[in-house]
Amino acid sequence: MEESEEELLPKITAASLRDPAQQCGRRLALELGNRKRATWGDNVRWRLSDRINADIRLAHTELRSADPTWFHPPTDLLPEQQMLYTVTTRAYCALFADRPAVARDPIEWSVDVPELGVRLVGPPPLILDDEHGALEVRLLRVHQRPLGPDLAETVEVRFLVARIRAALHEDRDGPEVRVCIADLVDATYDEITVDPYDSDVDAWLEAGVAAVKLAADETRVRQGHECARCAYVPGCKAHK
Amino acid sequence: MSDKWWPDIIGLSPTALEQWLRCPRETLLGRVLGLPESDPGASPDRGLFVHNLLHQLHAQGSCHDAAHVDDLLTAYGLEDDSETRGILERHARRCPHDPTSGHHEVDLTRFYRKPPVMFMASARIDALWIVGDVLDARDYKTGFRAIDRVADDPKARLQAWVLARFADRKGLQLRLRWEYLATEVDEDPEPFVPDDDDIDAIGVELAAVVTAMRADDAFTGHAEPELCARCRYRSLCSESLAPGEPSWPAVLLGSSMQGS
Repeated sequence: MEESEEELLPKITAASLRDPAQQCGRRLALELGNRKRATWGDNVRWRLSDRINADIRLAHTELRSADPTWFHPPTDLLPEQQMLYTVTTRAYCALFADRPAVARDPIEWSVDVPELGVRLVGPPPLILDDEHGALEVRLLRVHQRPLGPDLAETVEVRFLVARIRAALHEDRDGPEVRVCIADLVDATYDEITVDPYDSDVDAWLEAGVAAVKLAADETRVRQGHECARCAYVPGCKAHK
Repeated sequence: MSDKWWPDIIGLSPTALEQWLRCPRETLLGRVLGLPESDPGASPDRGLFVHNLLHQLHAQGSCHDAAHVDDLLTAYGLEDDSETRGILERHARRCPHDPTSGHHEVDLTRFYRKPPVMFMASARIDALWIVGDVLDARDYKTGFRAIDRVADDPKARLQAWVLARFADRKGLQLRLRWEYLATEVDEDPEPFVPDDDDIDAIGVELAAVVTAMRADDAFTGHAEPELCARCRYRSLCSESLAPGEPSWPAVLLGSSMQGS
């Protein structure tokens, strides 16, 4: 049975945590409140990266390094997408060569954080156990903007760590998680080790959630290029 | 209608409009599917720098104040850069004197809400000046001039359509001017001063473009040699008449890369 809007905890995404005071207060408030979307966005642009991530996860159903022979361009993709599929999966195999790992079951898109009264929402990351049983997260990007010089301090990585901790709260394999960030088109690779149980994670998330709640205000409408991607344009006073 | 490609509300910026009119296949690969460019073009750094410089110039003083211009150029180590100084001088000759108010880098949107065609037009206006009862909108250009009248350019027409709502709400007459700042361009194209009929006509035009976008399921490219040769997807596009090698780094099998 689907949960109703009232039953779901307020929704927090990585995007909402990125400088919420500068975002449209109305959109933040409606997203936070799990208000049903009035319109749907451009999901087709995620089709290729979703497929790449899914096939890579499938390649790790047992402890092994991925091999390019396992990846075949899906025939339901356009020729251009198929070319990118080949480029990115080969890049993955090269970047993680000789690094056998087995994928864990994916965490849910939505992970509750009861102590803050919110749920953290985002695509399931690729979580694996390496050959020594150590926990590793592979954040695979497809020609996206660089995260920034201090990876551990970026919203993307901090949010990822907070979601993993919330999802694996019963599974304390060890104090640290290795986070591998690879761009499969630009062939870049970075690796950091994070402690998901560090109190800094709590403090950051608590402050971030507070900032979002403060900025979320249906009367504070902010026009801008983000309007084109907003799910709540019909009914917005800025566009009447 | 092809709803499998587009969101419920299509976003339409001047750049997106120009891209669609140039080649639907390019729109599919870049805009719709978000694929990375295989052949990146010239760097936009110089144009962005000039825009930022003009923004700062007006934020901290007047472009008509020679001492202020000198100070700004010196702060950037450009006091001896005749090209940049020339750009600022050419701009100052065109910039309004004593406007009531002025704003830079203004993001405006206008929603077209007549289903099944719904789109969100957006435009970033380089400078907005209120001079008397005129909303003087400026777009700074650092490249070469290709038009004689601003009203003839589809991008300008979209800008005007977005700006018109803003001008109406303030009871002002819109005037859209493209300022060409390069030394090679002697004269700006004729500014666009649209009336209500012009704006209504543009709305109809844009709705027709969006209708065509939704109806297109094939996204067939225009496939012209000169056009393809300049396309940022020419080495990826399946219809390219000027394919090359993608600029993405080649990744060798069996090797790994550390560091970025």
